Amino acid sequence: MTDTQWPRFEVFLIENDGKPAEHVGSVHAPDSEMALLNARDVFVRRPQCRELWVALSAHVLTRTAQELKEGPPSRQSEPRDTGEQPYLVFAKPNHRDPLALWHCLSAASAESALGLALTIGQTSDCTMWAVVPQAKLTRSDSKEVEAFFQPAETKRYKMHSDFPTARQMKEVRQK
Amino acid sequence: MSTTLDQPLKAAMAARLLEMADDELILAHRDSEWTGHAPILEEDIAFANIAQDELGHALIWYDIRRSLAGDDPDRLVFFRGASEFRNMQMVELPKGDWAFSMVRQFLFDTWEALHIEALEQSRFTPVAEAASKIRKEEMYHLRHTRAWIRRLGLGTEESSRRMQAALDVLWPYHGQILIYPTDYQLLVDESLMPDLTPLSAHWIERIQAELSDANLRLPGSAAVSYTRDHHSPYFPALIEELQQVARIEAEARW
Repeated sequence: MTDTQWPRFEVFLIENDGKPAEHVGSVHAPDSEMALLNARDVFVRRPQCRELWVALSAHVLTRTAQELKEGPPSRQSEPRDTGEQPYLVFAKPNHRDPLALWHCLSAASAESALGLALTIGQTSDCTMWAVVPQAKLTRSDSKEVEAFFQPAETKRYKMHSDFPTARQMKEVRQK
Repeated sequence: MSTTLDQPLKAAMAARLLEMADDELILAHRDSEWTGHAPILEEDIAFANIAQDELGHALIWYDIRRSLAGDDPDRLVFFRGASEFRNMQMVELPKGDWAFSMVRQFLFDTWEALHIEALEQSRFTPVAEAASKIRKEEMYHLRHTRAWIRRLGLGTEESSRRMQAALDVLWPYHGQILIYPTDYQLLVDESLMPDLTPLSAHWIERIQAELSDANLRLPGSAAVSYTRDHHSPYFPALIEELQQVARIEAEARW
């Protein structure tokens, strides 16, 4: 069967200035601008957010702890590499916490960025890593914070029990 | 700035707020008809968000009207007859295809962006404060619909044809933006509400610029003549659906 979906983008969210970018999920979109808009609608209707990043899933290298055990990342440059570029390395520190930004570093490839990051960080409990070339990230514009994120601040989650609908329906049926 | 109004102004303001609220309510209802039916899941969520925002704006205007005229928003929405609504026909037309709903939302959002900016200058504090809250959401709506207008206008032969067809149907209704209550001028004279004529000219300029970027053109077709107490044949069915639950169970709350 042919896949008629639009390409998939990974979505990273920065809640506030004190927190690193965290992977929150993915959206389908025809291009990166629409991906940012979709990410805003899917992931920032209510929670706090000050910046969103998206990157085509095809540009994101992911490795689980299991995969790394089987084959550690190569730190050799591939022949076609023309030079180093900045990479963002994300790590999921344990099963509970999110995949969050861990290191920014320059490397000749995503593989070698991961290899480099593993030598400088504490990794014993990490379950997963993701590496994104900085040049492939699209970030929400700081000039658009007001339109993108401020409306969410006045919207609060409501538990389903906050609505009297179910109880009312029972009363209606009993009449 | 002022928080109270004298009698003739109060009545004029209440009449205009009803029109603004009804426009938002009916557009919200039509938009919400896409929930579960939008072209992709992400857009389903995005457009449901927009529908909910517009409904929220309707409530804001109904609430300010209540402070002036005393009528309960729920009574206005669920127990008025179809002929008592004061929305434009443009917002009540059936949702059509995705192009139709996007073009309508784009025309409305472009208008709202200008209208809300002008309302922020109102000397009537509740309106100015509400406008500055609504403005942030409207900036986002416009961002969203403009992105769609460009992609569908410049997309495929089919998407461009559907967009142009939607414009050809919707554009004759655009003059309805300039229909307001007979005593509206009182509000303009007191800087409580904006003069809509220059605003409308500005609106048309902006639309023309956006459309030509999307390779679409405004049709030259004749305008639909209209007052706000006259509705299209599609309207009674919309109101029947909107009011159905409340009419069955008048005490229902949610």
